[in-house]
Amino acid sequence: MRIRRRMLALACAVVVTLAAAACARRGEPQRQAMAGIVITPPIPKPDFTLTDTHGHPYNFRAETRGKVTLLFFGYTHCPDVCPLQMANVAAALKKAGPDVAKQVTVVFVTTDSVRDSPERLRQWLGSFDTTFVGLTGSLDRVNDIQARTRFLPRSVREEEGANYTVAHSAVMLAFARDDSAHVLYPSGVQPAAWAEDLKRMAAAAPPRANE
Amino acid sequence: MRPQSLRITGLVATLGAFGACSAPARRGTLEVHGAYAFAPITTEEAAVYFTVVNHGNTPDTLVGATCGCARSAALHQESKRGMTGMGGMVMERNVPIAPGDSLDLMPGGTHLMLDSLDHLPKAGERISVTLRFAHTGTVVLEVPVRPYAQ
Repeated sequence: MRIRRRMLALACAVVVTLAAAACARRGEPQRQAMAGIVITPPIPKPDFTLTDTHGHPYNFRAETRGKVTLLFFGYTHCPDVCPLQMANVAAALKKAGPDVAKQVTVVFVTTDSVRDSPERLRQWLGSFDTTFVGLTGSLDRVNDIQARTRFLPRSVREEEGANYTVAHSAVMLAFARDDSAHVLYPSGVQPAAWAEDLKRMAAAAPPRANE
Repeated sequence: MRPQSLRITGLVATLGAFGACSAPARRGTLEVHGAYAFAPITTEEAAVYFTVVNHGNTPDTLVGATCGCARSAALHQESKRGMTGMGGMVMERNVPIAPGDSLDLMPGGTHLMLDSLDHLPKAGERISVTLRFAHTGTVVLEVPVRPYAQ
């Protein structure tokens, strides 16, 4: 129940943010809107270590410090939302061009480490973009990370048997070079529009050395 | 409508649903249109989407589906827990469609899941899916396969 309430509050926050963004846009017609949903306040980049698809520990905050970073929680048996997100972001990076793409790190954390072995994750991610980072860890650890974003709901395994599904958030968090997520991307954002956002995020000033 | 059912997933995922769809199939008072499948990453499973409209005066029920290309097919219906696009699924055996009503399958929502495919369907290919309804009988769809990203 607490989760539902939190999610309800979150939805209200998103709606309010959208409304606020709409008002702001009216006042500043020269400013181009982002394709993603602007979130206020921004979400600080969570500090966590999981295992990458090479079997090495991967500290998310250290590895992606100062880089445009897209973070998604999903699983490879996911019917549509996960592959749609990964395919669309891969297409967006292609459209944005190699100069932008090399500045963007895409990290996929599996919510189904039981079935998503590092090998399977590597192969699945590689079908979209071989540079995408895949991370695995127990569902408890992954849910702890999602909770620490104070934004993403817990992932829940549903149904029994081999073909179970895992309820999870559909949104991809986009961390700017200041290591905060100011924008999120729900499923279905078109690659061309997403590419424009990525160009802007890659071009934004990096944080100062002592920040 | 429960407030929890406000979803980002289904809402926005629909934006991505464009491109090749099958021609509408009509049988009796049922119309099935907008069918497509995403080219799957592996042969383990593939998701199929379509809309069934009941133009008749009596209810009908989708009781099953088969595809010659898959070992089994099952309708996975979205559970009403979503908020941040929280996509939970429950398997449904019988899905009623009231007169004048429609059953809409879409990414992030309800889909027909094909399990254990005999090959990897490629974008541009068509797969034949048979839907079985309690009253109308069977409706065969030639489902175009499209890439996840257009």
